[in-house]
Amino acid sequence: MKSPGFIISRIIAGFLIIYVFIINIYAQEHKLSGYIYDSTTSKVLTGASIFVKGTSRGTVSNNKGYYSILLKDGNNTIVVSHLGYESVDKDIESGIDINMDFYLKPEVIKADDVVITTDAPENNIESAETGIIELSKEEIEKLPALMGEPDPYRAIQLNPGVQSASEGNTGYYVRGGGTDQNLILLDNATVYNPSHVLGFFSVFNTDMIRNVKLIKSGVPANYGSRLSSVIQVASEDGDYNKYSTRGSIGLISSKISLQGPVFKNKSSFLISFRRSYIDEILKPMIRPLVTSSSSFYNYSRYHFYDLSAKLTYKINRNNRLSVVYYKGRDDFELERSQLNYKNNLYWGNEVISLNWSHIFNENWYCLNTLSYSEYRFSFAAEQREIKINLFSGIEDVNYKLNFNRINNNGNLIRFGLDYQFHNFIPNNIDASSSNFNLNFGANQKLYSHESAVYIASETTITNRLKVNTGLRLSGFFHTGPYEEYIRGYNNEIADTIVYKSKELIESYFNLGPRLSIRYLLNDNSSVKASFTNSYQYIHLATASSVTLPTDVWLPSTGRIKPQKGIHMSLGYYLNMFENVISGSVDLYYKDLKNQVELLYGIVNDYKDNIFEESITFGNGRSYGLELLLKKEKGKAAGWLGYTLGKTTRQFDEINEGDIYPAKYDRRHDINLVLSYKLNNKLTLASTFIYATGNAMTLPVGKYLIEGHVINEYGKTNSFRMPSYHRLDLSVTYLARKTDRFESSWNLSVFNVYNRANPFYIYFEIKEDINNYYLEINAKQISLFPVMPSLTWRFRF
Amino acid sequence: MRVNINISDNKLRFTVLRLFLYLLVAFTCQYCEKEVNIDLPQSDSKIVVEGWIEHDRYPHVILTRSAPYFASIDSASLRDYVVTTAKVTIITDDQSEVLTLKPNDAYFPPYVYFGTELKGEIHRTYNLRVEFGNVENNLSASTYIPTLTEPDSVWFELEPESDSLGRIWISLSDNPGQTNYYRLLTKRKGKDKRYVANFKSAFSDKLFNGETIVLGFTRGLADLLDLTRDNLFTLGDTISVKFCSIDREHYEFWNTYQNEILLSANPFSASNAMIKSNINNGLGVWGGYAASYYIVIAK
Repeated sequence: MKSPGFIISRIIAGFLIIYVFIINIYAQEHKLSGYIYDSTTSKVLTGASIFVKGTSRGTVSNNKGYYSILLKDGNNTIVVSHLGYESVDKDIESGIDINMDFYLKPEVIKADDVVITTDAPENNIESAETGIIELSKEEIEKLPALMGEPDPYRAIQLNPGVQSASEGNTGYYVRGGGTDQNLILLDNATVYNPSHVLGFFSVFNTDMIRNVKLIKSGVPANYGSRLSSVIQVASEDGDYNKYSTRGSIGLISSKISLQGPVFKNKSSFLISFRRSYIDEILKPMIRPLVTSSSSFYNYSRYHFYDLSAKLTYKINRNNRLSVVYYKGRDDFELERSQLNYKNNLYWGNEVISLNWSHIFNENWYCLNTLSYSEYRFSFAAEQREIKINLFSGIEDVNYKLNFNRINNNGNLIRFGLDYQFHNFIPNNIDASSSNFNLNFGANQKLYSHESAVYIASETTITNRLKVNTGLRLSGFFHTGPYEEYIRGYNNEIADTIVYKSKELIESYFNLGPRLSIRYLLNDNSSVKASFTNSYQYIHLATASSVTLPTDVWLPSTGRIKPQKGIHMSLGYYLNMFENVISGSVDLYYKDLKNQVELLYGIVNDYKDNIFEESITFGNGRSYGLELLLKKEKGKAAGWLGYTLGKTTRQFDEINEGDIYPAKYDRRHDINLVLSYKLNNKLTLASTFIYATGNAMTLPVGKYLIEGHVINEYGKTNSFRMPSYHRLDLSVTYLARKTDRFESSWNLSVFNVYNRANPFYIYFEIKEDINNYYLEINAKQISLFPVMPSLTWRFRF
Repeated sequence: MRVNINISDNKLRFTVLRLFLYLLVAFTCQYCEKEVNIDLPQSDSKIVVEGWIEHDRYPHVILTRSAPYFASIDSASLRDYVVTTAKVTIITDDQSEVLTLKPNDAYFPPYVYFGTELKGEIHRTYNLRVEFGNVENNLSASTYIPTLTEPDSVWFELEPESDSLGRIWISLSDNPGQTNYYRLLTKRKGKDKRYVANFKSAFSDKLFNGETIVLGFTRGLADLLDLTRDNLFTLGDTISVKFCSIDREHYEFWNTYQNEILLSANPFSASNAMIKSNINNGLGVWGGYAASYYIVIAK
């Protein structure tokens, strides 16, 4: 029999031939390529649109500010534009390949317009990609913010198909996929738990980011390591020409950033720091108001911070280097001296990403990324002589190499490789009492290697038809040291297989194809379809009904099989009124295999501390309809999104094997975002959210055991919480804007009409067994009442 | 090597999760709580077994029915939830006995099916059959009485800061080479009508397999839902301690039962946690005990 490697190499070769064939069927045109810059800071501009006047040809600068477009020989007029910048028209005589950079001047403030997306509006109908959403820093900062802290993560969740789970929840769900199926990248490096304060704030502070982009369907092959979506956070370059400081002072946290040239026009830096001061300012302020948990305020301390730094270096025209460092941490301490009780809880991410982009010539471009990502969670408690330590985390080293080739006819081929070394620390517990160690099992570490090669193309076949294809071959290798337990009679461990360091224990190979097609119906509308088959080798085991920092990342092992997903989407895209209004309708279907759940409380105590054995496996399915209507610019701009969806799960060991609604199954989800620019100084913004209540399991009956009332549960997730809805408003007042100084105030009101949204429901039981009396009442807890906040932002 | 047995992964996770709850509530400054009306789906009433057999003692079986969740129960409606019409049979490989229903106000509800012939023996399996007129409603279960393990010693000790309250301590030499499961109950003379268990009464030796260990136990509460109530023994109590070895299925019931009591009101608890019953076609537990008894005077 032929080896799988041989077969796979044949398949790849076959695809390559097809790619080359598709791409070279056109001829005789020449190329214009170069960078687009901001003329004042010399920072590159991403997402700038480059159009050939009088034709339908156009392109968009990539995330390095680079573009490449094909021109017919002869005279061409090029229009380069970017929101917030003055457009540039340029006549170009084409006949040879030309390199040309454009410097765009920032627009003086226009009296009447607000803009809501960075994406060129034409992209809505012309790109073959289906669910992409991009937001810039400026747009995010205009939206109403919880406690005055703008949050890119929350802003992205205001789009159809994307659900934030609930208040106090880190996770978000894309078209029915789990939270672990979202790949979050900061300059190409993975971030595992992107939240502070249990999801109230994103770890990305807006001063350090340039834009955020979400891809929720038709995920390209180079990001194929997760099943549901990709969020790319692009960090901001420092100013190459002059030094500046910006920052904000808010109710619970403040931030400051510095940027400027290291070598003028050649190298720049940006450093940004944010810290909360809940303990120092907020707590003393609210202490008189707190009655129900007042004692809590006296023995707890909490803060978070994040630091990010970026250094960029333009070595020459063809080589750019950047390094980003990010570290964030949440710290929570509790000490009760009267009980001799003390504990410390912290979690945080650390990321370093080194990016080197190289342009070989106008056709070839490559990007190298070497990165390190770490997420840690730790809990330590001490009471008298007992000490307990709980620890989990993940550590990655990642190398990515991506080549882009823009063909002579403007079509694109992308190929590359992706290699990750993962080190998982699933759930380690150390406990001791005086000098006696309790045996919670040996501390476990799981090692694995994940690698992939991929190839993808973007091809315009006719004026109307554009096809994007992709193929990702991935391999996953679980290696030693590792101990595998063989269970025998009465589920006791009968035998143990010990694997040595670096010994291969289990390997998986998978080939994931993907395809997106765009067909232009006319100048203003198109139909798009996409199909993605992907594989994911890491899993998030969630111990509770909400996503918390305690959730544990696990690799695929012999027992835990890789997740497999099939995602299909079909949509109609329409632009109206000269691209001012755009709209889309998307149908999606997603099929998920090998999903994991933690059987908490069921197998917990006979697992001999083998974390893997507390996992159970099942399948998922989701389908739905998304509507989006957007007004891109004007005095008033905004969007309305609606999702009608259904998400189910089926696990043999849950709900007696019957299909049940996933906990984040939502029938209806509505988002309305509106901005209105009153004048040069004042901008109003509002967001409204409505979502069907989360599914949960509730008791349907009760019974007595040893005199105590015990719940009898109903079908899994058969109950719905009341629906969630909320209106937020904000006013941004631009007090002053000159070249040297900018000052603005943002007043946000969160939950304007003070809706008591359900956070959870519990039952209060009044009983008096001896007098034969028992009564149960349902109680709902809500977190945020109406909350105004004021933030001052400045730049000089 | 003194350990308060209340350490377990679940307890630990619960502590962590409870901290998050504190954090959430603290962070949002204030939160609101209101009573809501909830429509729960109707469920069919199920038969609940609370039955046990000890070596050298006769079996006890209490049968009740589960009630709709929001139903208020008082002494009048209670009668509806007591099952008095079943035929309850204990079967071993060579013997069987039909139990008789008798009132006994030490238990709740105060009706118990007693045996008078067949006593439990170590290393034997006991099957329970509960029969009604309709065969579809019949219940069955099986349990095993394992080897008797006795603690090396049992004593009372005051809490470090207290001059009147303390807990029961045992020294236990665990049997290496296999996983053992234990349960401890106490009864204070003149105060408790029956043996009561604390909220971590059942435990396994997985934390200390094969070791000799000293374990501390708080008093079992009559009302487990109120954890703030004093749960220690008082100086002067005469405490009868019942230390039992149990089999795995029996342990799993109590372990999941304890988790349910600890976690059910917590928003972070998993929605798929359920009590693992060993009763076919019903709820509850049929458990075998190999028990040893000790009298401790708190002084």
